[in-house]
Amino acid sequence: MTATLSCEALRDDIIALLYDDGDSADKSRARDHLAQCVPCRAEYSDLKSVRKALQGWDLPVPAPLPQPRSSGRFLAPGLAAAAGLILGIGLALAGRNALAPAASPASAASSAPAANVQFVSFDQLQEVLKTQESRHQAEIADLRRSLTLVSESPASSGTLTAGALKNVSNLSPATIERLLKASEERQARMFEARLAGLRTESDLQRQYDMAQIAAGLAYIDSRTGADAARTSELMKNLVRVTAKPQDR
Amino acid sequence: MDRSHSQMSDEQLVEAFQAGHVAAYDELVSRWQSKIRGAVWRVLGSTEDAADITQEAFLRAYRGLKAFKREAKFSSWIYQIALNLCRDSLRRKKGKSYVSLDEPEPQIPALISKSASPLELSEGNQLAERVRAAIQKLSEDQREVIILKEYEGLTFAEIAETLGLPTSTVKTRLYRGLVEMKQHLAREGVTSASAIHDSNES
Repeated sequence: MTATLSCEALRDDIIALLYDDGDSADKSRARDHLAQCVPCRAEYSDLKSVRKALQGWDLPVPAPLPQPRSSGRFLAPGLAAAAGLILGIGLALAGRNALAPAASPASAASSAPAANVQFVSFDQLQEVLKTQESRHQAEIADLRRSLTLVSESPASSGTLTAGALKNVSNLSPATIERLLKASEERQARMFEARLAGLRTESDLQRQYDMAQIAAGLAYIDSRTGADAARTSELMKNLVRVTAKPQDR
Repeated sequence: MDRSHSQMSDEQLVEAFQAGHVAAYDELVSRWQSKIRGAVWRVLGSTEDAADITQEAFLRAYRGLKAFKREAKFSSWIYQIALNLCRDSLRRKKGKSYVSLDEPEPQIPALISKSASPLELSEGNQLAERVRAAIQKLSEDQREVIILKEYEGLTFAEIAETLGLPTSTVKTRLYRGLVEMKQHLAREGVTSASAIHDSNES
């Protein structure tokens, strides 16, 4: 099909008619032209069918929200400024209450699910830290308890062991005493070693976490106080808004 | 959210924000974020980074809203910010020249089914995939105009304001984009005849 010069000149009007967006004079001019131009009529029909096909491309449901990232990736070099900001603001909101003094417990509670979505990395960081801390504390407490038990009841356990040993050997009480002491010392050394291992593990994790937190805080500190407060206000707003079901 | 804010126009909300009512921005975000996210998702062609870019767009808008001149529409402005971020993102990805796993080999779907009707394609959720693939083949300029018009429902004047172009250029890009789409869709196995058939049936 060949479009004449007048067909070319009327394309804007034809597009206006196709989308029903424009002056009525433009659309009426297009209608008149289509009534008498077969190639343009065919093309118009094709464009309508393209529009129909385009409607077949729906948005995914539900609309995408920020995905949780692994904490390792979260502060990788070259990360988008927004992500750094979000971590920083998250830290500011949670750790520096001075930036959000007006937040009531109720509003904090209501925005918590959104915070889980929006600031997942920070929350995960907190959660992991908490879990690790309590796990380590529990292990340390267990070890302490067992050590206390051993050191508090050397007589009874010594008596029992000594009695049992007497039945099977000719060890003197002094030897038994010495063996028991050696055993206790060995246990104490093992306990210290395990404790030191736990401390090292905990320290390494803490150093890593602190480096991440410091990176977030450094971002905040690089901003003026007013700017940070303003941005934290925005983040609060975003959290509140994104917690609502979407109408659109 | 302040109930009165929901009854205000975008312009009134911007005015309120500039007068110090920071909460007015909540309503603007609530009003526009899913639209913007949809546009970003379509321009990028995948969900990857769409949420991050949307959030970044609203952060930038927030920072710049105090100085925003009210002769432009807020919606045009936020679309403009989001599209700029999309262009940056696409440019960065092009620089990396990686192979997208989202994007299927262009010839394969056409070889599988040259004559599938839109109905059949819809059933297999393939029409959406083919439209997406076809749109990704358009130039950035044409893709943006088609997305803003077809999916975001902006008027020609609004698109012109968003993209900083004369209305006639917007219409020309749209026209050329649609003509190209027709060819790409045909290559993807969606023929205009079958689309018309589908159109008449529905």
